[in-house]
Amino acid sequence: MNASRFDLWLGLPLAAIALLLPFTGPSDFMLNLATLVMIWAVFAIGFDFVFGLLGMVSFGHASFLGLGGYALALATQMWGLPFCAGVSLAIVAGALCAWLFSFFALRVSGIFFALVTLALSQLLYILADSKLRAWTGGADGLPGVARPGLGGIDFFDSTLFYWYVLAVFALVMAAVVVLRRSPFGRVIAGIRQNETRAEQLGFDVHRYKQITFIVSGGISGLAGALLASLLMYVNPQMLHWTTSGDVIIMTLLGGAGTLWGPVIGVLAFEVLKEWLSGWTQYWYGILGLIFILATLFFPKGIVGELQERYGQWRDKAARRDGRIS
Amino acid sequence: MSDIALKCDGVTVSYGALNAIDDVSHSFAQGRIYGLIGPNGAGKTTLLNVLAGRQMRHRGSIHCFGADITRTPPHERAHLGIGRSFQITKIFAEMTVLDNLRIAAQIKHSRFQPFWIAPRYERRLAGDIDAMLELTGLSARRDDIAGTLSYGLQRALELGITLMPDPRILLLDEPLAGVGQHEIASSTRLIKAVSAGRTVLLIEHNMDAIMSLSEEIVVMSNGRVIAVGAPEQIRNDATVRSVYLGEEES
Ligand SMILES: Nc1ncnc2c1ncn2[C@@H]1O[C@H](COP(=O)(O)OP(=O)(O)O)[C@@H](O)[C@H]1O
Ligand SMILES: [Mg+2]
Repeated sequence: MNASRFDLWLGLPLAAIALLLPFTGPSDFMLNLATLVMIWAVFAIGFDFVFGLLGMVSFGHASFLGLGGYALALATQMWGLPFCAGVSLAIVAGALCAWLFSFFALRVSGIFFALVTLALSQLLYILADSKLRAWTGGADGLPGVARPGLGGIDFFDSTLFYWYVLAVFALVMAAVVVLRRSPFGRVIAGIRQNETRAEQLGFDVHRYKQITFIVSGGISGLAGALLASLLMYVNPQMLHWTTSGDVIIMTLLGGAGTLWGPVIGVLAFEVLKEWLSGWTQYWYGILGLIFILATLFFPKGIVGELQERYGQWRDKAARRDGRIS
Repeated sequence: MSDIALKCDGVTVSYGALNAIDDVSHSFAQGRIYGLIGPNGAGKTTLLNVLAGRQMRHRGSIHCFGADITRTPPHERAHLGIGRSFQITKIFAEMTVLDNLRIAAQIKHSRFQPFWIAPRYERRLAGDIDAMLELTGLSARRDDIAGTLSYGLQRALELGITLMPDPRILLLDEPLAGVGQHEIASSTRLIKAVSAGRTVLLIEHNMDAIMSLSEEIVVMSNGRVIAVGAPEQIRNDATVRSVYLGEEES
């Protein structure tokens, strides 16, 4: 099966929609929702490095997202740094936090990895909520987070900020495509499929996992900075375990380990959420039900399922052509 | 430079009350082919695990070409030249045959793996991959998903992966187990071919194969080495016949 052709077929219409959306006269609400989806998609893609590519369930990615948000807020508000420096700092903060977590979390595997990451991230949440109030504003959070400033463009305008986020999103997607197809990416895929074999060949499996975890943390930190900038606000909720839970659900829904799965998962989650919450106050429960049904009927997620159908269809086509010729 | 490739001294591995390996001291000379035999549960696989670094909880010490590797982790031992295949095939089952060999070639060419698409690097790997496809007879199956191959071909692929980094020492755990009758002869030839010039520890239950492949037989039982000798000597050894060969025939 040709996964990259499938990724292209799925990516082209999505790219077309993203590029055309600002020209269809959308409301600010629509544009902000689309921007939010792209930012969360960056987060989910970063998360999927650990979840889909390494096959490890992290329950602590809220920390990297939240730290990214706070890093941007503090850098631009307290230290008066430019937006770009703030975003760079957010990436470094996410990566550094992942690096610290890795010393504890990578000693264990399976359910224990999930528990250790959960415990560490809840610790950070509680610290941000209480002990570090002077820095984080406690439960009130920090309002007035900056928007990018680039050559006098007004990024407080929803459309312009949309373009900014779309550009970052495209860069992240491109980087992910490259990394997945790189020699490094191949080793990571190998480690997920057979860790013992990779280790016995001579790959320092622990080191590879650590690097992947750090990259994942950095991408999540970037998403955190963009999210804080979109909302112009950060609060400890970004660090809360429910944020980690949401990104797991979104990635599973879309299809872990596939290129577009995390993106489609976020899109489906956010659109359903908007639609259902305008309809009933019990939207979260209904969303949970939909998620349970989805995992029962599409255990590989939306994109994972489509990819498999596409593969079967191509195999069949190839066999039929083979018989005719 | 030592002409002893691998040496274990007083190695004991305990699982609770059971000693899977019980005070084994043995040296394996460089360039020789050793056949490791013994009934199921004798501790053969455990011994390979100790040598390859998969089983680090043991008493005693391990030396490789004179260097103490008792505390050396498995991936470092691979760089010292120890290659290992497993009783239960370990390959990258969801990847193509080509990608399986490509990963193996990567470790041979560089300890650093680029994060970007690296055509020049990939081209450098291609020669080694083609040679290994040829050797293992997998050229026609290069684009097949590894997990869909017949068991015999999966074993051939695993051998190819193991050989790719050009290990000086080969630890092969039952490479013929599960291989179909019609593939035994070709697999045996392949093992013979790749053993040349290397130190080989071969576990195998197929007596004809192991007796013809090995230069020296090490017999294990209940975690101990109970006999060492040339194949024909071992065939005629009374103790060995009673604990092992006799059992096989009954
Ligand atoms: N992980 C383990 N836990 C407990 N017992 C084990 C473990 N691995 C092996 N054993 C025991 O150690 C003994 C030696 O096993 P093994 O080395 O696999 O034997 P062989 O390869 O010669 O058949 C057996 O009795 C086996 O049951
Ligand atoms: Mg065994």
